[in-house]
Amino acid sequence: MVGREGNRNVVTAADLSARSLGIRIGMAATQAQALVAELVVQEADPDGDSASLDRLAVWALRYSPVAAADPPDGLVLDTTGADHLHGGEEAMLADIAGRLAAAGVRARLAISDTWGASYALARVSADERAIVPAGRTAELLAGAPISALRLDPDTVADLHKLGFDTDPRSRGGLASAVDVAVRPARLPPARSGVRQGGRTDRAVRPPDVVEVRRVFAEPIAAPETIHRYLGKLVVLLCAALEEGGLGARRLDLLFGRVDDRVWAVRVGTSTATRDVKRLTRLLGDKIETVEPGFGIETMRLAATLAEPLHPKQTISSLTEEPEADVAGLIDVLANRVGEDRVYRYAAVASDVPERAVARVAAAALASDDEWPAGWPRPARLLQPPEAIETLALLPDHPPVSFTWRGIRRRVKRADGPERVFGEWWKAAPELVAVRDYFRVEDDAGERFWIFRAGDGENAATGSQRWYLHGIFA
Amino acid sequence: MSYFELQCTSHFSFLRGASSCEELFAHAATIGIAGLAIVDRNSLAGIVRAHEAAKVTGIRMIVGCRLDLVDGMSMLVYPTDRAAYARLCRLLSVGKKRGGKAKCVLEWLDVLEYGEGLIAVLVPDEADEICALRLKRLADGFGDRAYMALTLRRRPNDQLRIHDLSNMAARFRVPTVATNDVLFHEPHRRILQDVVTCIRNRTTIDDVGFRRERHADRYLKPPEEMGRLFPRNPEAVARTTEIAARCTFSIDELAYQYPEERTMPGLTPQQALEKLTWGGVKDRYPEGLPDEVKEKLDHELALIERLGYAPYFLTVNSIVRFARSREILCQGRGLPPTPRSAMSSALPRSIPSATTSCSSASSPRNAASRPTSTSTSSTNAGKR
Repeated sequence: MVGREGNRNVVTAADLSARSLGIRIGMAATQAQALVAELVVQEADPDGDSASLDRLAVWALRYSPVAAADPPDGLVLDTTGADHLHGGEEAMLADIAGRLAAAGVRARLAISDTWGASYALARVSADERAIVPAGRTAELLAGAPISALRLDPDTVADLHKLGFDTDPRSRGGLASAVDVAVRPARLPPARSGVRQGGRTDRAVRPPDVVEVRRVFAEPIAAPETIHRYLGKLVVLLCAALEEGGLGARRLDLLFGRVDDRVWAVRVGTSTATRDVKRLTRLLGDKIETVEPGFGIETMRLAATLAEPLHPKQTISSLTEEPEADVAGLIDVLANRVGEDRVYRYAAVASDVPERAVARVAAAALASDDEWPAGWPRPARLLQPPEAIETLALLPDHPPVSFTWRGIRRRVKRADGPERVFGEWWKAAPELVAVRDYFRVEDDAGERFWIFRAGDGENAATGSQRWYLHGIFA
Repeated sequence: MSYFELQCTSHFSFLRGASSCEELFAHAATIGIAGLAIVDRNSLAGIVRAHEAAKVTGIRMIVGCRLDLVDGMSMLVYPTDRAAYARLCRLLSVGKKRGGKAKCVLEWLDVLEYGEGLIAVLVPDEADEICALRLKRLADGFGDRAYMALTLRRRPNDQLRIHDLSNMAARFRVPTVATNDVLFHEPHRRILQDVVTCIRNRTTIDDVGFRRERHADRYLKPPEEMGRLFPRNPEAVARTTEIAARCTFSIDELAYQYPEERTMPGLTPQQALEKLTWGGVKDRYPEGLPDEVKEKLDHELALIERLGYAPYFLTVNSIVRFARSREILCQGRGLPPTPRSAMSSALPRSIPSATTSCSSASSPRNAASRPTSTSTSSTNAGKR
């Protein structure tokens, strides 16, 4: 990318392969073209870049209620209190990176105590996804180059001339001197990097969000007071949702504190809802996590994710008990222990036993897949299958006896083989893999599900070793 | 040990079978199977290819068809003779006419109506009440031509299922026969079979789930292996040979049949043609028939008699006559330019060069197809 800077054409961005050929940002365009003959040069479009970065920031609201674009190439998210909804910090970063990669964006991510540290880590850390545990920011940042300090390029260049390559503040002796020299002139207070969420003034708001707010003349702090006003906000929000025929799937409650910090609480629901009682309870459970500091000036409640929800007529049957609605319970549990820890099992249409069951969201609709009736399956499946010693005739006879966990069992009765083929579209080794399952009963009447890896004829189909995979009840 | 595989699905069962008849027969020859019955679903489309493949490989081919009835009953039918084959064709025509494109709607009563001379083999699912009902129906309707297929599925309770089924068959005095329900000739075709199943269900391999073929090992197995797989039912394996022996029908019995052409009551087509020809000669050669032409006519008439083409010439004659009566210009078309035969000019009011020169009809095989194409185009010309 080449853009104009003053009256020169300079390189404003370069991809990995260009950089590996020696192209640097800030280099004159003519010099870059002289360096690499077949360089693909395109006109930079700073306005377009910043617009798409803003769009990306709106997208990032799915992860946290406080997100802002950090031009020219960054996003800032205040994820405090929001990460558990995505399965923890690590899972959230993986999810962000995955989704961005799917959209063709390569991202470096970092989570740390402060914005500045995250900024530096995301740009200089060897790790593409860095997570700094609370309180260890300073030691991880020791030795970081000064270019990671959110200083403008001129300052960085000047500091290089002075002989500083790494952050001087991290090295005791010289720190104060450089601090004095650099800070007043170059660092505006908002950029000093210790204030969490200091840029919420620029945090984006997603379009068309149902939002209600309340401004307090006197800052409030007591949990009971917060709770009372929360109740009022939820009522307002639900009324607004009803007007639009919507139900909330995710609510963000933002507390604007006196000291200009924003505290966020986020809850998710398994089904779209605008039930005042249920939502109040979910949010109320979270109030104890809020630190009011010197007091809360504003409360904003927004349904950041909403789905159409139309009134349904309830069918009342005189004879049958109505089916209990567990959605409320699911939400309470999910918001307490984490969404990924509340789930249910569902049948999957797969012949491979390990894949025949999957975890699905707790409120997911029952799937149409059903296991075939009449095919006995063990009550307990060992994961992974355990190797057993057997004596069996080839090619498709059940073993005469087998030894599992040191106990030898004679096979009295057996049924099989049930031939299960690998799902060839999933992985290359499964192209030819075969398992022959047998249901066997030992002297004591205990029934086991054992299989031989391979069809007993063709060596390519498996190791021909025997495994115990399940125990029948 | 001799074994006939009586349940082979070729790729003429569209998006079900994964092997061609040629592949099935070639593979059967290498593993020593005595014969194959191609049973495509509600279709006889595969049997011509199968017949040719059978000739190449020297393996017996049995004509058959799998009928999937509206009530969910599936059965295999094999015509024992040509008349039974004709009834089977008629039965399929009835079903397809009802069902429309790519469908075949058949009821049990249709099968009964056209079932004479067909050997019927029930394809059972589980040995349950429905199966008993169908078996009874089959035994009542087909008598000693009713059988029940025993097929291993490689699924839980397989042996028990076979045991229950053969007990049930014994109760209704229906003999059992071992089949393998073949969908492809060798094991590796399973993948292609999965793919065509997905296409049939209009889905992807990730979503197809249990709509895949669930029963394993649908490839051709050698006779010894089949014997080993049915240790308790050796008679069922042996019965494949019995059924094969009862099905005497072969496609070779089918030949092109020209529609009857009776222009003169009491005369065979050849006699009628000769009468017309010699009558026409008088108009054509009023001052006497040259020897050269007479010789040619005798030769042509003899050839026509030998090949049995007289009805065809009569058809053309009647078309031309009709056209002339309505003053429609008619010309023979669809043939390479041939010297006008003496006979065509000798026929009353002269048939234009529509008829082929008989001397060019040297090979009966080539000649057999020619009159067909000519007669069609002549008909078109007549309609104009």
